[in-house]
Amino acid sequence: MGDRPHVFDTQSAAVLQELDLVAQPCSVAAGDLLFVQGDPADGAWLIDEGTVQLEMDIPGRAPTIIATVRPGDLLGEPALMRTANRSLSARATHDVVAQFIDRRDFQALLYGLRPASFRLLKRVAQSTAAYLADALAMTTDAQGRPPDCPPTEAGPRGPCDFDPRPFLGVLPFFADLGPRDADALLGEGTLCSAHRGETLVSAGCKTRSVWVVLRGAVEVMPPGASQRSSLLGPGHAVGVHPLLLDQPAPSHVRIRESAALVEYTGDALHRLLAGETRASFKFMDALTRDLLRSLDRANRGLARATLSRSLAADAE
Amino acid sequence: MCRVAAWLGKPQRLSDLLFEPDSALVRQAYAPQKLGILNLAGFGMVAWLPEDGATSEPLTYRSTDLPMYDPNLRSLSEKLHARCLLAHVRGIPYSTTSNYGRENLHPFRYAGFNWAMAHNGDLADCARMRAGLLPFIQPTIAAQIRGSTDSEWVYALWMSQLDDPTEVHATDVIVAALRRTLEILASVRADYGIDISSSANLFLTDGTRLIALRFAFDYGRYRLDDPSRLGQSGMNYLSLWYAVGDRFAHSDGGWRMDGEAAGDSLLVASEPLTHNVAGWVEVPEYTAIVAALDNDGLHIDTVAMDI
Repeated sequence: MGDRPHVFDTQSAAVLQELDLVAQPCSVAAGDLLFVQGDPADGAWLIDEGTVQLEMDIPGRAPTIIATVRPGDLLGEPALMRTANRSLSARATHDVVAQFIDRRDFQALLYGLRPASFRLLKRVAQSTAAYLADALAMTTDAQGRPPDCPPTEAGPRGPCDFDPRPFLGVLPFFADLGPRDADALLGEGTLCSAHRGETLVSAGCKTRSVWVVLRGAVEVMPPGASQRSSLLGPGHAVGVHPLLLDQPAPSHVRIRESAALVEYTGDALHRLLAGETRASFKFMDALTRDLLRSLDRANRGLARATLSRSLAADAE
Repeated sequence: MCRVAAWLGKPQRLSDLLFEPDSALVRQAYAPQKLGILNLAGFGMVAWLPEDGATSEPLTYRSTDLPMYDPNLRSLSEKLHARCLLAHVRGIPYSTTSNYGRENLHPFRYAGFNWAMAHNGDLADCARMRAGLLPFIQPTIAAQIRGSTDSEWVYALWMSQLDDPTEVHATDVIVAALRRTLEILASVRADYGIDISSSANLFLTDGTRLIALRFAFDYGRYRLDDPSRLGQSGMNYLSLWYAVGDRFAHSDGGWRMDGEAAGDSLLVASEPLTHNVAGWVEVPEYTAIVAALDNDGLHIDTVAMDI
């Protein structure tokens, strides 16, 4: 994995004090498993000392090493946000000293809707975005990275041809918010539409927008790759991890099926990322949950790519 | 909306796929993990047993009984092993207008035809499209349509793309017929102004080959008329998973594929047959898994079906 921001790297005394309340010191001997692929996930580890190897189990194969987690990294952070099963196993490669954070404690801290909560949430989102970027890069068969291009404004779009508000409760991005928050968040963006085949983002460009698909679908295609890395349907966000990491888009983003979108850009996006309003907290919450869904997809793609490469190596 | 499981490879006891695992196909009738509706409109399967020849008729079983309450199915599945199985639990809207008849149970396989098909998904407004589809269906095949499902029309359309469905065809001919079927459906949908999301995950087998397609038309373009009745196929791209190994067995505390990853058996399903999805691989969207079993073992390929 590449460089990730230390998830709780903050000078805020308030944040550190609150973290002290939820972090449980623990240690794991070299060779032991911190968790096993498929187990229910109940929390995350902040690694203080030692290293941890992330492994993917494939039947009939030795576990495939996916990544190494080092001091300062957060391990298993999807569990902080939702109940799910572990998508990988984690094994200590050296004696580990860590702080375990239980999901329930974290969520109690998070939903205080205080500035400290927002900073924590944003850090988790950035850490997840970094994992996601690495996982996507490991999945694609594209070679190299696209050339950088200048920052671009969102292209011209048509008007949205329907009222999306009655559907917000079933769209994943908005579904975890209450109806009032969902409606308010929709109002922060600009509704638009685009036709099949149109390009939303070109690989190598830095974008200043995040979109949420309201209807239709968007596909993400690494330049030179033989397969799309993602297909994003209703209720999924587009352009999140490059924005949070302040990186150029690694892939082309195109409209797969004629789509209605809500676009967050310019001053509205700046406000939502600043963390000073209820809407911004809800926006970051929704972005983080969307990143976790993307990470699930990326991990499934990684399993597929790992198996394919393993079989190809056998064939040679 | 249905759930499907298919097997091709070394002989496998049917109950190991249908009943035993913690999310076995029959359990998916009443407790699917990745689907919002139950699949209570019957069960069907075709199975080729180890002693069957390449062109043998399969064992066929169809019943509108709920499979978890079907002792005959349970007894059969505990005694029989199959080298190829295609099994389906049917899910339909909870409505007094839904057609619950036996003639609508999958898999479809007309008398004398080599290939069987099961469908996971639904084609929006299919009844309206039928007049447009009919010119692409051979009259002798159209005459065999008994039920009222969109799925049977897809089967009839696909079989009609073969010169003679009672003959054995090369795999690339079968795949080309499948692609042509999707193209015709896309074209007729466009002619009738239908652009509503429609899932077409198809499972096809002749006992020695297995093709599993993950596909949707106009994905994400859900109906706008009634938000409270949005179907899952309108919102989600229906899943399709597979696992490769030698046998599906209970080991290390759970059911999983055992043996080499480049093994001699393939298990494909709408959703994993276990709650723990470790070892299962998701088929990409707009992609078909194409597997063939011969004297040299099992050969698996993936084919893009991006139309």
